[in-house]
Amino acid sequence: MPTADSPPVPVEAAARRRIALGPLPVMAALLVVAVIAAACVGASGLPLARAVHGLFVWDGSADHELVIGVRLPRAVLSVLVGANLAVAGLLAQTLTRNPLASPQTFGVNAGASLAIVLTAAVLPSTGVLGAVPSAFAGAAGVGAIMWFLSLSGAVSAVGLALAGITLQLLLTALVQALLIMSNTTQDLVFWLAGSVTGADWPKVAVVLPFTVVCGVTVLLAARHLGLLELDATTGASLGQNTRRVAALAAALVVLLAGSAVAVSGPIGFVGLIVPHIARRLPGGAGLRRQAVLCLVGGPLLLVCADLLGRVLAFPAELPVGVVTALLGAPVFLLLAVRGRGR
Amino acid sequence: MTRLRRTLLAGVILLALLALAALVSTAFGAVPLSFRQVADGLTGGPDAFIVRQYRLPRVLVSITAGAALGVAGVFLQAAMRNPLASPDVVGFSKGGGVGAMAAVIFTPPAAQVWTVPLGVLAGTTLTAGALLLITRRFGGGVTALVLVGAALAALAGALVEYLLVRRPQSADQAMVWLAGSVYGSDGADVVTLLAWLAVCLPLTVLATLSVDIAGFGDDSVVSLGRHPARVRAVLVVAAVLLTAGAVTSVGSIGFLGLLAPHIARFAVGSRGTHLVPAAALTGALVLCLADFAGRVVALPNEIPAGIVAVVVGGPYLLFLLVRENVVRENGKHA
Repeated sequence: MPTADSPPVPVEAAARRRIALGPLPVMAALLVVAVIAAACVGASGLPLARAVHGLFVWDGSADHELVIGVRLPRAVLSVLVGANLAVAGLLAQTLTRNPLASPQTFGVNAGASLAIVLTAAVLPSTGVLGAVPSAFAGAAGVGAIMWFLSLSGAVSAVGLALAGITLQLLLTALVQALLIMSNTTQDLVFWLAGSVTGADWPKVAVVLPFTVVCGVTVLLAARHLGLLELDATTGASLGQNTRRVAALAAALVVLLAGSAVAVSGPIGFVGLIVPHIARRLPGGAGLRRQAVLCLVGGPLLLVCADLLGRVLAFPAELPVGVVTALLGAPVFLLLAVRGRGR
Repeated sequence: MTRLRRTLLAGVILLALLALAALVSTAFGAVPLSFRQVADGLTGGPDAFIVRQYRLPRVLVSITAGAALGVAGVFLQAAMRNPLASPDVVGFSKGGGVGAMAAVIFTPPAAQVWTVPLGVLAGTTLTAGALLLITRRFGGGVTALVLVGAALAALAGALVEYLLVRRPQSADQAMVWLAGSVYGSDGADVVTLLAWLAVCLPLTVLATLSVDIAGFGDDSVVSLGRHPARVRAVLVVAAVLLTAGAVTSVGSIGFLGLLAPHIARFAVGSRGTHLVPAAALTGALVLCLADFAGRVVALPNEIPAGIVAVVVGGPYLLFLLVRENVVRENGKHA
């Protein structure tokens, strides 16, 4: 407790608060800037002033319709999907104690994709609402396989990631085969890579509840979820029902990754690299702070990647999943090489 | 000599299966032919056009490319002393795909007969160089190598998609090619591939003779009077050249270079001079069958042979992975 006769303490407290917040204010500010930029930059070449006008002045003009109806939902969807994937990756890495874990490298995204494409082929009328439950089913199926493999102890950390990637290749091949068989090849490239093109408010509404509910759950249960990093015996000796907490974490991964894939396809590497960056940032100790950093950092990465994809291939668009792969594959390489000793 | 007899027996069986697969593959398709019609077509009967222009080149390309990939797999596994290594698993094929795409986009169509193979060769060589550099710099366990390869493949895949988006008009054709397909092969493809493989033959023979030595530790290789780095270099270069040839003609077909050596080793054991021919036959058989399966599973559509190969080879890699770890934990030799 700071008292009147100990002058250094308030200074320390302020310093501590600064560390506790860490780079969070800067990241949040950057995210706001990125979202506004994403709403203003696009193929139609709207001047910046008119785009900003369309964003903030709700007068029903064409500019307003473009910015509010097309670009803003895309930016918001990127924010939500980025948050989902980053937190899912963080939980997967904590749960399996494997630095190479993520919804993509463990094949969870691909499982969700396969289930979605399968549903679309069998029941074409269900649309995006049919995609969500099937994405959960697919993600849960692959998640169960990977969990079983990791619990069986037969496979090392690197081996587990390799098994996940093999599973991903396999499931992606099946998705390709299905898409070819059902003659829906027109946006195959885009969908397989993962993309937020064609975002609209209904898609935002589909994914928003999952982001909010799962995000709040992670923050509230962070104390318990964080203990998963220890081995099961230590967790149990600290009074933790480890099995129940692990099941909660696995369910959260499935919900977060599944809902993200349902609206945007399997976007890779966000869930892998954002948690690693979050852990290295000042104030990145403890699962709750890491989760907060992921909730801001994932969206920041994805919005910027989407912007980059629109600028790099102008006037065409690069699927955001391609940009994240270009950025993320080298990081993955580094982690794989470093993880070999474990 | 029982080993020789066993190898010969396996070779005869594989050859017979290959001939059968080629025959069935030539007969089946959008226009089903009887075996007699196929035989007539070969000698210039009424179905000569279908047989000679469409079916036969396709079957021959799949056989030749499959053989090249199978042998490349043996060489890489020997050079890296890693049962999981193969040109597709460690990303060579995907790197070659990037080179091909770049050549298609950045060079005039008239020159592409030359630039595409060169692009594939450059892409494959670069990927091999990166892989060797990384694994050498950091050392590498058996599975870490594959993970590095997977990362390189992901990077290459992203680059390919970048190029595809820049040049969307060639996207449909490129997608099929990238998945790995023998669709649309013609006589010229067969001749080109065979000529390339003939050029590679001396090096392939040399590499075949090095397969056994590469299995020893570096000290043993030195004591046998050979240079360990040079032995490995011969193997890797041969693998790169063979892979480049196969990728140029059929695209990035996955898991074939992994699958074929393992099946062949199961049949004839691991002596190089026996294993390499057996792996060539096995690779040819597997690709021929994969192409056939892809053609008949989803009539009237075609599933590229590469997708079929992944669906078959993926589970096998998983199996190898689990076994690799189980074996190591039991303390047996890895």
